[in-house]
Amino acid sequence: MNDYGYDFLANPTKSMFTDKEYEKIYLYFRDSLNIRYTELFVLNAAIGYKNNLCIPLKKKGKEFKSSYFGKLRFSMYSMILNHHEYGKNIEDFKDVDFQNSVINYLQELANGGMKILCDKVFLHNWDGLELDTSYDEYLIDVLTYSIEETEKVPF
Amino acid sequence: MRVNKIELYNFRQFFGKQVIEFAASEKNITLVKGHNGAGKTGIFRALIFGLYGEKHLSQDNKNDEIHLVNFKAIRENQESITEAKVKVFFEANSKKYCIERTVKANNKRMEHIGPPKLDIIDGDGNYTISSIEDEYEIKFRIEKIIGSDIKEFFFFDGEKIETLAKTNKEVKKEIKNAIVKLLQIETIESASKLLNSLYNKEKKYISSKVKGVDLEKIQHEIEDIGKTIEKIDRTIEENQEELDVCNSQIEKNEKTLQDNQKILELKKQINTEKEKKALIQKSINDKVAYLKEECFNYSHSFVIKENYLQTLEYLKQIQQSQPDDLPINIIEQILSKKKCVCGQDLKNKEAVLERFRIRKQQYKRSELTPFLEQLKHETQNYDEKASEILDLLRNRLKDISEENSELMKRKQHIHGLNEEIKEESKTDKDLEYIELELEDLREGYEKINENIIRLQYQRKEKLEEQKALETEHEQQLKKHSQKKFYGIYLEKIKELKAGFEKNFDSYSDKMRQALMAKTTEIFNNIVDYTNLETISKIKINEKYELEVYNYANEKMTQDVSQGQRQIIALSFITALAALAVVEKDNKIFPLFMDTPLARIDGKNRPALIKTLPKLTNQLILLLTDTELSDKEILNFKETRKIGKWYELTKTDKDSSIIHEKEVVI
Repeated sequence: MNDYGYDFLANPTKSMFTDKEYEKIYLYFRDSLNIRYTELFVLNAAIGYKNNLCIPLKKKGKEFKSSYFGKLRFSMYSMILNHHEYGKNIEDFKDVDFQNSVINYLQELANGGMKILCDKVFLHNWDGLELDTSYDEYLIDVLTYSIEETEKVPF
Repeated sequence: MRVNKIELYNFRQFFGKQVIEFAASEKNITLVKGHNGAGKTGIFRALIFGLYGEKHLSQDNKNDEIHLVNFKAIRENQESITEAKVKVFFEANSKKYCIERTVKANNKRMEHIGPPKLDIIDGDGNYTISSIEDEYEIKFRIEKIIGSDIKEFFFFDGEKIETLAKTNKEVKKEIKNAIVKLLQIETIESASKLLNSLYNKEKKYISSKVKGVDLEKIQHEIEDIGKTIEKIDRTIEENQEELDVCNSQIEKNEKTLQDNQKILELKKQINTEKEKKALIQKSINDKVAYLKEECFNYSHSFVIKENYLQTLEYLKQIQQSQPDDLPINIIEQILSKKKCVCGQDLKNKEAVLERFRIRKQQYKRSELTPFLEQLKHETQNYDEKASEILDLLRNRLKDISEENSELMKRKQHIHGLNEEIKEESKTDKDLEYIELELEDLREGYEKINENIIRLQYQRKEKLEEQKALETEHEQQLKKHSQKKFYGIYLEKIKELKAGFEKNFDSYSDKMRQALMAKTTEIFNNIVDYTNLETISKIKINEKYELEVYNYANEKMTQDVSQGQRQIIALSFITALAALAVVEKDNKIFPLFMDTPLARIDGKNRPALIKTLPKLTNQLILLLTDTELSDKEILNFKETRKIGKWYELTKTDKDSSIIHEKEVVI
């Protein structure tokens, strides 16, 4: 059942979800800007982590395998290992319940991160449903924001 | 001569009785304002019909049926004949006249002009005992006062400005005809043509009578060459026409390009800006593509950078607390063989074996080792990359931001240039196409010109050939002619023909000189001051072409703008009228002008309005509403010459009425 030991995010049986609310943003980044679904997810999770903002998914949207993260999963592990509840206990990585909780936590972080992007970056270009596709500076804006986040003191 | 009043009754657009009294003496301008179709030309038509009984004006197509009786009057009078009437009251040579003409129409609009009636009142106010009703006598008397042959010179048609502003064969013809008519020398021209034909006929006859030598053959050869020359002339004329059309198009294109020179320059600037913009955009696109491919997947790592250090610290602690330097199979092998991997016997070293036993018990941590190693390695990698990529990203974003600002500046510049183009734009035409067309036209012009030169050379050769044959023919004729009488007869015709031709040229030259002096004088009075600096003289050359000269006496006909051409044309037509009235026993005649301002630039109108009253003792202007805006009304008022002012109002499709307006200065 669990052949991946501690490296549970490499397990292709593990599924992850984004919120239905933001699905069109992920798809726009994927289809129009050539940014992979997982790349935006990890960035959102990092922003959520930095701002300590976890938002439960209102409605599950697109499903994807955690194994699609590739090496990005190590940044996720890093976030988990420094978490006040899940962190500093690598032994638990083998525990399925722990894994499921952590996956849920990561989904909520990414959801929180995306909300921050919508509120602070996409602003009026986001109408609550989709992005204004006539605007073509999203990539620059998101990267610029990610730099701003580095200069921020963590929560 | 002065026209005092005209009474119209069911004439043309004017239903019932309508009257216009014309201004004269000091306040000599009568303004008649009306929309198109309201009957402005109808008033002039009434005057011509009243004086001469003519239905057609010079600008009418003579084949067109002109109806003089008002249609509404015919409709309302179904059962009987409807009568239209025109009465013209005028004075000349201290006598007053009233001429009346009627025209009757049946309900099918078939018209019949009735006999005229003329009343004369002498200087003391005495009427002739009875009206003159003899048509020939009336015609004779009217012709003495104002000849029908010059009537068109005191009627100025605004349409002619457009015709004369061109530079084609028609204009030359128009100018020549005007001069011939002014001089009334059509008869001289006809006589000259007649004598030429008579000369050729007689020469042919004499040639046929000469014996011993084949004069007929020489005559045929001369005639054949003559036909060839005529053919060459026609071809030259055709080529000349083509050249004129081509030249006129070149002028038009050059003018369009000149007018839009700034636009062309602006468009070039826009293209340069667009090229620069495209380069910047490409650079931005390349940088953005790099960011997508190389930076985005690390973007999260800057955000959680300090996290990696903590993770690495944690991983270090784990590894230190549990060193996993030997795999489980090696530990088991050491314990079973009691021999170290280095070969040392451990049978008697229980303490060492005990340590291996503890390590075996704690082996579960060793399962973690590869994951820890990989996690440590990747975390370290992200930690390092985060710094590296962050610096790179900052620089790239800074570059992109600068380039975007530059791009924005270029866009704004292009927008500004486009706005300038919009402001400058006088045409919607494709200027690049016009430039290309101009090149083709210039090439075509050169070809036609070369063709004309070649044809002119051929013509010269043929003329020389013809002249040689004519000399031979003449010599042979003199030598062999049995009947000397015919020779003398022929000689006389030749002399007479040359005399008429000389007279025609001489009269024509005199009139040309007078016409060009008057045209220049009027032009200088009318034209805007800025143009005065460039045009000093308007000439009419031997080919009856209008030529324009500057103050350095250099010909600049090709450089004259369309607006200037219109002023020149108007000056020329007005000069014709001025000369026509002076030529006729130095008498002054009224000047009728139909839509004279319509084709004249607004800036030249004030000077024209100021000049017009000085040209004649009585000025009657038929103007459309666009010619008589508040600005022009003010200009007219400033002349203090408005005596009468009428407005024509169309009440229905077949009826207009004439209102007199109060003249308030």
